Amino acid sequence: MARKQQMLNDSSKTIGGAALLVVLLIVSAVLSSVYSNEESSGPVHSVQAGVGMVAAPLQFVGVGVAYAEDAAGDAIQNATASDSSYTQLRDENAQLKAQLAELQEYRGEAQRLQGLLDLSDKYDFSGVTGRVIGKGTDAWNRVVTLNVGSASGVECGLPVVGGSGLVGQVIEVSPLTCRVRLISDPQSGVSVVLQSNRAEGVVRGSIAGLLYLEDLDTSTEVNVGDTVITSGLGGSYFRGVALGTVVNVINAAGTSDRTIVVEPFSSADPLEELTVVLRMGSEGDLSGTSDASSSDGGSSEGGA
Amino acid sequence: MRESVLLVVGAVVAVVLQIVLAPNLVILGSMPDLVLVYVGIAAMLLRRDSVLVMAFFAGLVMDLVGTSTVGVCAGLYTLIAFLTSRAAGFFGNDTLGASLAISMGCFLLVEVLYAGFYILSVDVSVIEALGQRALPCALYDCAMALIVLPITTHMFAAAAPSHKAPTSSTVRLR
Repeated sequence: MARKQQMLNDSSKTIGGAALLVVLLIVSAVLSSVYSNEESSGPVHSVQAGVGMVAAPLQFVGVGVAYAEDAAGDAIQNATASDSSYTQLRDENAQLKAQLAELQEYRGEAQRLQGLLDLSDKYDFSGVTGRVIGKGTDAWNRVVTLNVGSASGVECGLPVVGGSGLVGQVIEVSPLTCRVRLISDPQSGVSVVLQSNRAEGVVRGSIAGLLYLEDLDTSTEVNVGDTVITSGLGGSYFRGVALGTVVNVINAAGTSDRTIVVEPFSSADPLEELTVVLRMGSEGDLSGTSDASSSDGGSSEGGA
Repeated sequence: MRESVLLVVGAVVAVVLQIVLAPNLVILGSMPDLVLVYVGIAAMLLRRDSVLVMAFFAGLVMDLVGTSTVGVCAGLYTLIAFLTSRAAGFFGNDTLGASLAISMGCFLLVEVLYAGFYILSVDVSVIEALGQRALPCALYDCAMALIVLPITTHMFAAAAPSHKAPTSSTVRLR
């Protein structure tokens, strides 16, 4: 009897759980549908942007954890040095260590900001520079959070550059923060031209983080070292921003298919400070006379 | 009541750790989903309807904190909480091995389902999505489960001192 009662209880519990599951799944499906069909200024997107802004301080703590990890790595390296040399160096450097670290930090920051300023001069754009305060919270999206938002003039769709070139695009804006999808994200696609022969294509990200140059005419000659710059087609990115160089061209045997791998200039930069480009004056390197990767500023004029 | 409070507190801690810690635990592009791990283990240990609600809201928060489609994680976490709970009821024999096997299956299912959703919405190949993300992430989740499982078991066991002898509602470590 007791066993029968227990079975009845279990059965009703299962039915209750299943009903709750169905209700929650329907709510999830409705939310997904609303999210997918509304514009980026829609209510669910707005709530997402607001929650992202609220979570930004937590993400900033996460960035701090990353720095702590680096410091711990340095400490381990120091600890594994030989005792005699370490003791000698420790006495010598004790007074200067903290000051040096501070100066190095300032110098690094100054160099990065100088790089952004150089880029700004080179392309004659106006933008707002922000600090990276958060990284993506899942493995599927390559996204960073900047501490500049709509209050600083940032809007969805604007391109974002680092010290060496294009980094990504703003996909979500709150008053104080914005989220940037990196060009290495599989959901990113940038219309580009090869600087050497003006062949047009699209650079797409991938799950592995590599950039692939696709939709290129099969007759177009592509060589390792060719510079890739944005074409401005589609309107998502300004024209003429340096993106990267071709580092590998893999031809498939027996067909005209080929895989072209592009290494972004921005891969050499730490993702710490980035500039959201608000307005573009001239059109960068489309004149084709400069090497986009050169540090001398190259020719910033040219193009339309 | 105390278990419910702990359930919510655990979820909050998992969400905070996912935001603060998980982005710094990336290995070859794979990141653990600590919220998923917590939801799966909590569902396995408690087997209550309240876990479904917790899973839904934890997923919803992760949807809102992240940049993916709102509702996807909420639905997946709810589904996995239900399945894990039922699987633990049918197959669980209160050993670490059985618990891990159930967790592993559920984590893999979530990652594969998410990969399926991702493939439908983004132009990536099945091999790339499964081989480079879903499977490594599921393995990473399983590794995290080895840490989260004892902590969560201890937490819920401590919260329920008046329960009967732990013959079926706790995991016995072997």
